[in-house]
Amino acid sequence: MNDALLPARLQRNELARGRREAFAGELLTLLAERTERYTMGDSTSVRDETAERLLRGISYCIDLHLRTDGGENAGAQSVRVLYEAGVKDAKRQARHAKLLLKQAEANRPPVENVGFADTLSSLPAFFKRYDAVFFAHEIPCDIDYPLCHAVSEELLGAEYVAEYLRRWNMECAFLRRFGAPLLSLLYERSIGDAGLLVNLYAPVAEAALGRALSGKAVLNLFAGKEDHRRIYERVGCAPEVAARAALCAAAERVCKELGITGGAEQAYLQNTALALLPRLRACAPEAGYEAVFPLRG
Amino acid sequence: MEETRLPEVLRRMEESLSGELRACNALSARFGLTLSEEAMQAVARRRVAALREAGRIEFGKSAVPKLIEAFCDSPYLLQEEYEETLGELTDAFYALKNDSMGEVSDDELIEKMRACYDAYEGGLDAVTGLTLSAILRGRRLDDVEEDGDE
Repeated sequence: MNDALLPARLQRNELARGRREAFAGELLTLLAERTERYTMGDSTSVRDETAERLLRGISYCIDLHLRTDGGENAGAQSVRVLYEAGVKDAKRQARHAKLLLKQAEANRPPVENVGFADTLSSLPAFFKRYDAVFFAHEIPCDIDYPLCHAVSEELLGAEYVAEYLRRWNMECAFLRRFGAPLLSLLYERSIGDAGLLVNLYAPVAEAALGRALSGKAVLNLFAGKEDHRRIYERVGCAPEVAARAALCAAAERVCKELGITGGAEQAYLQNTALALLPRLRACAPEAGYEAVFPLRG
Repeated sequence: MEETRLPEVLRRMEESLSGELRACNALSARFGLTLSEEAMQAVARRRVAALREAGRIEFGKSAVPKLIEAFCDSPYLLQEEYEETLGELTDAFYALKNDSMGEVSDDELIEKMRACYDAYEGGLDAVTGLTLSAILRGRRLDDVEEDGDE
């Protein structure tokens, strides 16, 4: 029996060989039943792609439940029980994501771009179209707006959307700490056109980190040429350990000044800070720092 | 689109048709049509090939017994060409099913195929040449007729 039939988690799992074969057999039986339900008895056959989608949906639900549940009793439970529990888990994820969407709609940043607005208006369609019973792994809407830290593509379905919106809300909460005129000016200097499909959080977070690295109040966001040189000394040409420590300290300072107390938000900003390291070490301050830490004048 | 990873074992499920065909012989024999064991295996192989050609998978019961049930009382179907005609009908059924994009049920499609087969006095070319638009057009005409009857 081909192990490719088994959900990802069970391919790695130490299922006894006999149970593994029985599991794959149960999975096929369930697939046949789900296919019949999908066609509502109108058709004995489906396209290969449809069967593949249905199998992926079943496997994803089983995998989701094993991850949610810890997967300790995977071998003892029937495929049907695992699948039905997985459908419930997927529906729970969708309900959670819907709450996060409401939060996103209620807490928009002072400045938006086209990609941001389009994605926010597209996301409600996900909840209308999402089919946890047949295709729990799919994301039936357009999500174009890029986050500063992209969600892993290993996450699927409502799980992906929930994580995407969780990060989205963290980014928006950060942006809401700044005024619209300041943000607009910063975008004008850093990305030129806020109508482009670019992330809105990264330029602001990086500018705030730059202010913190040069020992200045972060709310201003803009840097001077002296600041660039100071950042270069502390990060660009410093030993890596010291540079990383400086970036982490800057993230801490930004959090303190902006009143960011949530652990997840702090970790998100720290990741943003550490992601600056290769960029700041790759060029001289005169050559590329202005794109990261825009000058006011 | 990722490459399909449905394993060969699913294909094996498609090959368990012989038992169903044996049961069909009891019905079709009343109209002078039977399939030998060898012919049953040939029809089963033809069905697998037709499914592959159309890019489809069939779980559980096959549509071939439905075809036999629907066509066995046709006056144009003769024992000498029974196996070959069943093969042609099987090919046409899965190809049309594929074209229908889920718009036409098995039963509706088989009904249209049978009507076409009889209308052309057993002309298989007419059946294999059926198009989705012709099937759907027939459906709309049926709807109009039904409305008119009310």
